[in-house]
Amino acid sequence: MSVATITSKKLFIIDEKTSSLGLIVGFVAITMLFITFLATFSSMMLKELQYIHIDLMTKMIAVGITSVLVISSLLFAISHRQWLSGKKKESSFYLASSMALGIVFLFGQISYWQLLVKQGLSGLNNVLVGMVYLMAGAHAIHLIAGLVFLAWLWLQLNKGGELKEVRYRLIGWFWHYLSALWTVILLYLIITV
Amino acid sequence: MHSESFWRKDIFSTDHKTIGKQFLFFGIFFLLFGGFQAMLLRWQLAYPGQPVPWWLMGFLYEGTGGIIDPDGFNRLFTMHGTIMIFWAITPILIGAFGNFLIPLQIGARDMAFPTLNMISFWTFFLSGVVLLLSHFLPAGSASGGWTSYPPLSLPGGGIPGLGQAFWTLSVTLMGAATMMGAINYIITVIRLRAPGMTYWRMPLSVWGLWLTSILNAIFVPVIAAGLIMLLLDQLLGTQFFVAGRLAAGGGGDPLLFQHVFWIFGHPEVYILILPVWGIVSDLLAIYSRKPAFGYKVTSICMSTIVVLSSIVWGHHMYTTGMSPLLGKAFMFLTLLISIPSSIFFFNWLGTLWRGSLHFDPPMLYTMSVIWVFGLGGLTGLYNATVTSDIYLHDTMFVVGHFHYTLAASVLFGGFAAIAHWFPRMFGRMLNPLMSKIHFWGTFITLNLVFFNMMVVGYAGQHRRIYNPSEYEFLQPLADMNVFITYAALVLGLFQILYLFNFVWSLVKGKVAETNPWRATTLEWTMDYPIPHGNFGEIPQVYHGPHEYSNPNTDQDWAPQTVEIKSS
Ligand SMILES: [Cu+2]
Repeated sequence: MSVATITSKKLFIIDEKTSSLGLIVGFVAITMLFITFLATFSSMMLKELQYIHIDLMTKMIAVGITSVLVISSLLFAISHRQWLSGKKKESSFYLASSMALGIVFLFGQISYWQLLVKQGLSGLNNVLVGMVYLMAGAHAIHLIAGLVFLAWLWLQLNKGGELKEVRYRLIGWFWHYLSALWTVILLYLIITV
Repeated sequence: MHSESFWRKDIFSTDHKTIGKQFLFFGIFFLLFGGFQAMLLRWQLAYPGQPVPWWLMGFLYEGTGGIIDPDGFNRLFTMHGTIMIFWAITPILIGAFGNFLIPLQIGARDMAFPTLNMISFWTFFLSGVVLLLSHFLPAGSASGGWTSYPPLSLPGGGIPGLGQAFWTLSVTLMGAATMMGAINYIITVIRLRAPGMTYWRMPLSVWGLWLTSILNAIFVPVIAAGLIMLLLDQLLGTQFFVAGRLAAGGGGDPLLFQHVFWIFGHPEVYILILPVWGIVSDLLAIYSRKPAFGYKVTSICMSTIVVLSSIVWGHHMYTTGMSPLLGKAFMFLTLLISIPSSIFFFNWLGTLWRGSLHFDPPMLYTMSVIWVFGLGGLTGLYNATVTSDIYLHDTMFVVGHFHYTLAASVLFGGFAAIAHWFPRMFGRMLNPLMSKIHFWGTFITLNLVFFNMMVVGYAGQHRRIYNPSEYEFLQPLADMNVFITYAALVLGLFQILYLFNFVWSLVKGKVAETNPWRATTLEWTMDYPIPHGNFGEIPQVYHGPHEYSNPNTDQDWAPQTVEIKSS
């Protein structure tokens, strides 16, 4: 059998479905990580190892911060729509605002953490509080990765070169996934705590 | 052929075949490392407190007067288990053969994500470096067992230094590398099968590797969560797994770590053995010149076990005081696994039945898997049953059992795979005479070691004890312990022969023809060396992987690329 002339470009094209499926398996893995955290948290609570008391006002602040991330996710969806209909400028603007709100959310999480610590909720003495901080931290690390993707996308948009639609879409999936993930975790915490 | 620099071609390669070989060399290195630690462990169990002889590198113990001290013993069994499971079996079976076989056997040019594949190997490499470095820490490596249970593995547990933290960090990194590999394997099988290569036409090796990857993708994140919490307890002073006297305020629960560990840990044993089941099923067909008996049933059974394996973890925790009802549930579910296991086990025997058996080295190794896995599986029933496990828990019986299922089955499966695919990987044959000597030497001594471990365990000897001679009721076992040690040392000697054979055959082995075993699967269809991109043109597949002795073909085998016309 002959050895064909091989140029790596021609041979290794990752098609859309392949990368989408890869990302979905990634979502399964990340979800398992957080399910384990939540299950551990619930188990600690059922065993009454510790207690957490957070007043309604403080809970509402958390809801407020999280809604920033949800709005950021919506803005990304708008930006994607605009790009699809050829409005490059608008799409770049909405993408930038989505990114900005992502950063606002991140700082919101940090100041919320400081607020809770001031209220005497230490992650070192109380395992339930520790689990909450751990989940927020693990989510934040993924969010920072997401922000890097968003920044990359924004640069591509403004460089004016060709951009594959699938990249836009999959980065969007990741961003929506992250806001959905944190929304679910927060709802779970508010209901159980 | 496009030319690539040395760095792109041999070091940071994205070619799945090169990455597979990298994993193979990496795994063999750690196999020898972990194996040597086993010899030291056996020395201590046979001659407690006597100086380590020079031929076991006694100079390593100069600091403790030539003897292995209790802390050193704890470090040895901890690192032996950790290394063998995560840095020897995982890279050889999953890393090397997963990478090498999947694209070739399904007719793909490479993995779905070649760059991710390369990053996966180098993350794995880094994790191995961290683990090796931990041996040089001032207070020594981890010594809390491969399970690293808290509170023992926490700062309050009495193990000095950073060894435990290094352990946690390296296993976490290894998990990240495994995840990347798993995503690649799963998607490659789903997306890149050649035309005509349906799921029911894939070689069973690919089935095994694919199911393993699915388990990895789901359960590695679970242990990752546990390890992150453990690391925070070790380094930041959180209290997730701290309880009782050591806890600052209230504390957490050490048992939670055991749950998280075994929710991953039980699937992990199937993660390690599924590739072997697949490889054995394929090789038995090739060397019996018969279609694998019950091909579909075998793959369905393996899939069933994947599902069942995720709900049986409690059988590792019968003695933790769980409710008897829960214990019975876990016992029932665990024993259920013996049904699909026995079915495909009998399928193996069915493949052999009235076959035209060719006792080439790969077949010898493969057939020995049937024996060691059968024995390992049967002894598992006693551990799965609550009543007998309460007696057997944490004894050498358990050690013998899991060495039969994991060490012996996976080792022989790995030897079989290396002997069978060596000509595809390196273009030369593994020397058959040396392979056969190695096989018999290993098979006999290995059984003497692991079977007698179960014997001393049944007689009451606990695992992980430093000095059995300190217990009066264990003193009658002293001779048996010496015997096991000598058997183990001979076992080790035969592995030196194996290493010699491997290196010698790499350089001087007989140059292999394209398809020396007359196998039907796609990886044998092209000449050596297989180019980057594998196939000149993506092949068309016409039938399943085991068309041997089909009456409608002239020769006794039909490659998957050749259509069989019924006369
Ligand atoms: Cu188990």
